[in-house]
Amino acid sequence: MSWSQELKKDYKPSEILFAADIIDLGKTFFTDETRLEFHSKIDFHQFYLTGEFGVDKFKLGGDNYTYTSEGSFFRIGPQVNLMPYNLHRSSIFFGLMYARSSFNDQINYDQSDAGWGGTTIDYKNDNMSARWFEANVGINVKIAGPVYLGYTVRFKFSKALTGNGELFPYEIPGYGEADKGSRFGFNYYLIYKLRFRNKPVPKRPIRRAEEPENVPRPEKS
Amino acid sequence: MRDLIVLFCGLLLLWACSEEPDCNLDLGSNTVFVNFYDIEDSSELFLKFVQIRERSSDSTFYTSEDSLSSFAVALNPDNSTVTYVFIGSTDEDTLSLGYSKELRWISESCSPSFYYDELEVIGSSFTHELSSTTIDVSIDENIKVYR
Repeated sequence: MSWSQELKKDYKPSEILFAADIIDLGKTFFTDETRLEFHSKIDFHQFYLTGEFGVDKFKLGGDNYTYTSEGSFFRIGPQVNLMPYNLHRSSIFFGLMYARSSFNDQINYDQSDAGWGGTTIDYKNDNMSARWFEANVGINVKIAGPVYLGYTVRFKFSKALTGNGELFPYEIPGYGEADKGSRFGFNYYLIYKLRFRNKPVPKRPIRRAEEPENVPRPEKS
Repeated sequence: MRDLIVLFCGLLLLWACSEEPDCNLDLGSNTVFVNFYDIEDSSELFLKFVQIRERSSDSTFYTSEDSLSSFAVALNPDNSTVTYVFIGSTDEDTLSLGYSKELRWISESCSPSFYYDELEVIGSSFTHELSSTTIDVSIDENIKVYR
């Protein structure tokens, strides 16, 4: 058996995707948190260059503390479309990304350690930053016209945090809980696909039986 | 249709749950254990102090009449050094400690807690030996004092 046809390479971009995380949009509209995450990607043959941006602003409160955090993050990296033959231009993709976040936080904390009585402590971290890497896999499915839905599952690893003082941050924007060395993440996106060039969907290769070689032909009588 | 089924299978991931920590078990410790030994034979030495207090405040950590060989003192969350005064019936001794501290999170529901580490003795009138720089609920001896 052999592939009768290879995927024709066309590196000239043909589409840009704009996406917004609809779960984060819901949190922003229906709670007092601000969590927004967007991404955009452009195609090169069956590859994408992807850029993502987000902002986080939230407040936590308990019996003895009030904590606020605010920051932004970006991610950038390549992705490969593992399903380039889909007639609806839906895709399953895998990607690697570099991510970076800048943020600050502060806490007002009432402590009551044994032996010292109660005191109120204020800590503030300005200009913290973190970087990490991500391996992600996801799917985009055509809903109607240029509108797609999709999700991305992320494995975030190799985190490095700098700039914190005696208050360890609760969360790193775009990463999640700051004390974890690796994290899984999930985003659910509403996607608008802007096509600016007609690039035909390549045909799926067809397996064809090879003609046997060195087979003696029957002699004519 | 098949694509849509795959898409919505991803929603199942939203129900993935993580284990909630036990707030009481995961709390940091602020206690340093000072254990006393006989300088001659290194056996446990039971002592009675009038009071153990912090030098610059009125915080008191021991007023017991009991004879003990191990005394627990609390680190100060407002500062990164502390000096304890061990007041005996006829004499006074001091023990000054330095340490790092960090306000860390167990979870949102547990609220943050101070975690202490890198204990050091920065001065003492006691003959002493640092046994453990770690401050943790599993540690029952940080400083050995010989008398």
